[in-house]
Amino acid sequence: METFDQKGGLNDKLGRYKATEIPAGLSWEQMGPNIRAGLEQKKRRRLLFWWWLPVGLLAMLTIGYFSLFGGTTELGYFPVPGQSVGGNSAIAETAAEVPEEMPVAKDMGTLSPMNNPKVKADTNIPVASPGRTEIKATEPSKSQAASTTSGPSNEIKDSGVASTEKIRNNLSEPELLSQIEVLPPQAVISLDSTTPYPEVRKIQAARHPWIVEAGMGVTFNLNPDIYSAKLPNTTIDPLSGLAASLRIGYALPQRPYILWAGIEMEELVQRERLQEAFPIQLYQPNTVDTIFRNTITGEEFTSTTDSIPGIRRVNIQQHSTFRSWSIPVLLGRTWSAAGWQLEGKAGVDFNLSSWHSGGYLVEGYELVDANTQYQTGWAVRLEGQLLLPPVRFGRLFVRCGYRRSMTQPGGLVQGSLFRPEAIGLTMGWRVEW
Amino acid sequence: MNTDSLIKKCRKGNARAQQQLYEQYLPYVLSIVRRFGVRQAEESDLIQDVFIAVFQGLERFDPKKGDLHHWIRGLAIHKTIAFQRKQQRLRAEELIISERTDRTTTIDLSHFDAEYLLELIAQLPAGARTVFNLYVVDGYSHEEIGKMLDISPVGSRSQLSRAKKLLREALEAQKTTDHYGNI
Repeated sequence: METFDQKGGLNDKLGRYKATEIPAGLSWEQMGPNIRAGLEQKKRRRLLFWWWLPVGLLAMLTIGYFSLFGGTTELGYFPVPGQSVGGNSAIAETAAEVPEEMPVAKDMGTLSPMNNPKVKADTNIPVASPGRTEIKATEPSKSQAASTTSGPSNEIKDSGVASTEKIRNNLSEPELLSQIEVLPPQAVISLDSTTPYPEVRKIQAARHPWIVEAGMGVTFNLNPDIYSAKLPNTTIDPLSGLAASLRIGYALPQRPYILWAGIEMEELVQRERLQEAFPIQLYQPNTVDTIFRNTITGEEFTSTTDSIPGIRRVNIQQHSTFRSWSIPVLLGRTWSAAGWQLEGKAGVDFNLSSWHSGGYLVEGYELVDANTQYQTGWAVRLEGQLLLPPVRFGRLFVRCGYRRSMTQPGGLVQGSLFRPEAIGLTMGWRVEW
Repeated sequence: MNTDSLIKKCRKGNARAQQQLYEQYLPYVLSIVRRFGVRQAEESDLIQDVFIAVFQGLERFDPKKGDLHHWIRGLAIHKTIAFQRKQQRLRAEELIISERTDRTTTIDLSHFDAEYLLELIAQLPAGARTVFNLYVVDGYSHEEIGKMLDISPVGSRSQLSRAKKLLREALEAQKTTDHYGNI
């Protein structure tokens, strides 16, 4: 018995009831395109999310890396004039690698009475220090040399300075002693100093000026196919894609300018992003169902509507893929503060582009219209790049770029005024030598 | 084309399979939408939302856990309720009106036409109609209804009592034993 006093009591009567009158507006021909468009939109949203996932992951790894190793940064890449070089490992290395012509001075520098007050009480060690007035550089005294060799200091021995014995041995030779006494005071190098010594400058100048950058990011076309946009009933997806770049730069002697002119490769891949879906009415007399296949996704769909008996009206979906390999030539200028760098770049690129597009009408998988065009061209570029403070293996950068093609792919649009423009966001890593 | 094959093709985005599934289940979904009192002008929007959810959800649909029919039915019910709530037709204050159960007469509805019953149900207030549909037709418990509508199980019972009372009154008003059976 069917009652409404029990749970599910009307299930058989009403729960499985099917509406008998279906309004014409709810037919698949009317609803299908909207439903499929809704599905595509949601799929695109999901894809967009997945794009940004690796970017977010990279950002988190970067933050973690800086948290763990940020305190041990000693890499002194390209010191900027006016910036302190106190923490520069290159300077420390310079101090350790004192030229061979002043080995004794190196050892004795560690025994300076200024650094060791105990030595001063029993001072018999000639030190190349401007504070030692009793030692004449021009007139070495034999008595002084003799007293020096005969009276080594116990305090120095106890201090455990490794070079004490060496000094004593060296001082036993009068000619060596005379060498010590003639050493100029400026040869003494202190680790505490932040003054750029000539030796440091030499090493800095001898450093390689090459820079390598590798990055990956997203790019968006600002003005996709405006020709197709004028077609009736046309829906154009945003033209966007992934970009990868590998660049080599050369730091000019007139720093902080960098010429990005070495071996460089940039690849712009726009996969399914450049998809245009626009219905085109085709009339195929005496045909039945027409199957369409998206050759990129493998998706199949079928025409359904009969507008005129015996003639099929079908929709064609067009898919296009734009790929570009370019060689940018840019000039960059760098500004630095607290280890961070901001770099502006401007220049041109020379590119080879391929444009693969067409409608796919397949009856028995027959391709109706598709073509690939190749074209060389050039574009102007403007870029802004933020570089984080260097860590052990280089530094992270984030780059925003604007690119305007000066030669558009043939057949893409009509008219010569159209200049495709794109903006991009790239994250990557820079290594300097 | 059997159901498994249909589902597989729909998952791949085959338009023909999607059309077949749509046309197969549209009358069923439409009856649910109408049963819950969605206006005719809004039917197409809701139907579109339901089938977008169906085609999307097919990737997660597991035939071992239930048949496609029940799955689409559940999806359509949830989408319809969400739609009604979005349109502010299911207000909390309306849903928590208490109604005392004063009659427990069992009514045999087997002789009533489905369309006639649906017509009566459609005339119920939104809250009572929704609870009545969910409980009596779709077989949800008061606890489940409470969660779906964000009300307490007691509120759901009250709404059901109210719906039954109104339905009884309507049926008694048109008491014609010859055509509609015994009340």
